[in-house]
Amino acid sequence: MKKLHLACLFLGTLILAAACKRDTDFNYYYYEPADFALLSQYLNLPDRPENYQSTLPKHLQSLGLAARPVDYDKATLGRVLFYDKNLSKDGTISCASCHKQELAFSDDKKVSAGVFGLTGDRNSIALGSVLSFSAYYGTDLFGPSGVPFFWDNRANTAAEQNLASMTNPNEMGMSHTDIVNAVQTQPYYEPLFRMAFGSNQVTQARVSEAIAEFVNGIGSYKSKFDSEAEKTLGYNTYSNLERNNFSGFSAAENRGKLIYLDNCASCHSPLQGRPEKMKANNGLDAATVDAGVGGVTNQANDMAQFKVPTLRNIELTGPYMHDGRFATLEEVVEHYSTGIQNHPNLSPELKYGYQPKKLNFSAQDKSDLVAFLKTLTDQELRTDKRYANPFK
Amino acid sequence: MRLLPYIALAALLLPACTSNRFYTPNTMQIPMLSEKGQATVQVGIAKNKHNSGWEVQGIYSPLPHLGLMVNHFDLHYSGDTYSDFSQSFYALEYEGQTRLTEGAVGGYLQTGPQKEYLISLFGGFGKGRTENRYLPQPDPPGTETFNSSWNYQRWFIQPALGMKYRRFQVGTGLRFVWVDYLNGDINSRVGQVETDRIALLEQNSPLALTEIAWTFGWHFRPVVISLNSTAVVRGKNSIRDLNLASNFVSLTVGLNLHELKK
Repeated sequence: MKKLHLACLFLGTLILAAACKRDTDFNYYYYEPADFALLSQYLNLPDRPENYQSTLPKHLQSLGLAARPVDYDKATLGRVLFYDKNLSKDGTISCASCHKQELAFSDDKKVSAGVFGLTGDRNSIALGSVLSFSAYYGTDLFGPSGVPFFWDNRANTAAEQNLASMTNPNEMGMSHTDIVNAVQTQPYYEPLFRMAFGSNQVTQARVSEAIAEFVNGIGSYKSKFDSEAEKTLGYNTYSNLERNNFSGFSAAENRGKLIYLDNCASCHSPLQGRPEKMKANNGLDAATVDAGVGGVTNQANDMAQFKVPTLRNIELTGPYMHDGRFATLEEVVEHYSTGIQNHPNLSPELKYGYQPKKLNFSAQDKSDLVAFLKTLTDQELRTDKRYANPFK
Repeated sequence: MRLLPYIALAALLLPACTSNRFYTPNTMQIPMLSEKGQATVQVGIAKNKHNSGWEVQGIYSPLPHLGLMVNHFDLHYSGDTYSDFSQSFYALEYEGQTRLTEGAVGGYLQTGPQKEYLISLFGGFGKGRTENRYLPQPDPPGTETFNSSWNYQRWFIQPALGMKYRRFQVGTGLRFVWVDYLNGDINSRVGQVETDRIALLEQNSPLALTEIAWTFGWHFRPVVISLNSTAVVRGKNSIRDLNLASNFVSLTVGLNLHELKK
C-alpha cells in the first residue's frame, strides 16, 4: 500500500505540473529567413506583405464601385518594380519618377522627363486622381463602364498601360527583352517573383502584371469630402443629399460644392466615383493641336477629345490639363469661367447653343470652388507606407 | 475462424481513423497487469486512405501493484482543408508526420469475485514533434511548399479498467491529457485562415483534453491481438474550433513476455 501511496503522490505532482501554464513560442514567418535577409539588403519591406485591398466608403459602394481583389505578393513585387530605375534604358527613370507619391502619384512638371533628357508629350496623369485604381480603371473587368488608360484612352488594362510607358522611347525606353534582363540581374527579384508567381521565372508579362497589381492596390478615398459624404449620405446616394451642407465643411467649401455640382459634376462625377463621361473636349483650343482620342480612333468627332478624370487630389496634381498648360487651380477655374474655346468637338455641357459657355464665376465663386476642390485631397495617400519607395 | 468477426470489425473500423495536423491521440494502452514480473510488448498499425501509422508499446511490473509503461507513436497523414490569401479562399492539401514518445508509471489492483477486474491508474509524460507540409497551390502554379512544425509535450493521467478472461480481454479507460505546445516555426504563407487556426492552438496551449478508449483482445498465449479505439472528447468551444482528430483506431499484436517463460 505504501507503494500505491507513492504512486498517487507522483500522479498528484504530475497534475500540478500540467496545470502550470507556460508560454508557447511559435515563430510565424512569411519569407524564408534567407530570402528576407537578401531582401533586407536592398529593400525596406515589412516581414510580410502589406494589405493592398481597398475597402471603399459607403457612398462609393452604393454607386456600385468595388475594388477587385489584389494579390499582396504580386503587389509587393509591383511596388519594387514601380520604384526601380533599372527598368529604364539609362537607369534614371522609374514609374515613380513621373508618379510621385507626395503629389498623389502625379508630376509637378508640364510634361515629365524621360530617359536621356527626352520629354514626354503629355502631362503625367495622377494615379491618385481616382478613388481606387482597381475599382475605377480597366475595361477587362468592368467592360464599357471601366475607364481606359492614358489621356487618349488607348489602353484597356493597367498591364497594357505600364508596358506602353516602359517601352515608350521618350519615357523609359526599354524593349521587352531589356525589361526581362534588367529584372533578372537584380538579386532581390528572385524571392519576390517566387512569392508572387510560384517560380522565379521573369517574363515581361509578369513584370507588367505585378506593376498593375500594385497600382490596382492604390486607393484614395480618405479625403475630407469622403468623410463628410459618408457621414451625410451613407448608402443613400440617390436623393441628391450631396446638395445638403456637409456639417464638417466651411461655408466656402459648401458653397463651392454647390458650384461644383451645378457646373462640373455632369462630367467629373458628383461624388468622385467614376466620371460621367469617358472623353470630352473642354475647349482648350479652337482648333485641334493634339488629336487625343481621335489620334487613336481616327474618328473626326474624337479629335481633341481627352480623358475626363475625376478630381481627387486635384490640389496636388498640377500643372493641369493633358498638356499641363495651367499651373494653378485658379487658372483652371478661370478657363471654365471665361476661356472656353469653340472647338468643333466641344462637349455639349460646355455650350450654349452653338457657342461656348461662359460660366462667368464671380471672384467669390472662384474662391469657393477652389476651396471645395481642396477638400478632395487625401493626405493619407501622400504618406501611406504601403505605397512608399521601398529601396534603401 | 472465431477470429474472423473481429478482423472484419477491425476492417470496418480502421477507416474511421481521422487524422489531424494539430493533434492525434495515440492508442491508449490499457494495462492488463495482475502481478509482479508481468511484461507485455505490443506493436500496432493504423492504415487507411489518409493515415499510415505504427506504434510500439510496452508495460512491465517490477514490483507488486507498480507498473511502468512506455509508448512510441509515429503517424503519417494527409488531408485537405482550406485557407485564404488576399481575400481569396483556396483548397489546401497537406501531409505530415507526428511522433510521440512517452513513459508512465502507475499502480494497479486485481479485484473482483474471480479476480477478473484489473483497475489501474497511470500518469505519464512524453515529448513529440509534428511536421506539416502544405502542398503547392494550383493557382498560381508553384513548386513551393509551406511548412509548419512544432514540438510538444504531453502529460497524462489515465484511470482504466481491464477485464481478463481465458481467451478474451477487454478494457476501457479515460485519459486526461494536457498537450503543451512548446515552440514551432510556422510559414504564414499558408494563408490567414490556417495561420489563425495555428494561433488558436498556441493560445489554447496547453490543451486539456479528455480521451476515452476501449480495447478488445483475443488471447492466444502468449500472443494477444487487439482492436483499440481512442477518441478525444473535446471540451471547450475554442478547442472544438480546432477540429482536432476525434478518433484513432489501431490493430495491435502483443506479446506477453511473462507467458513465454512459462
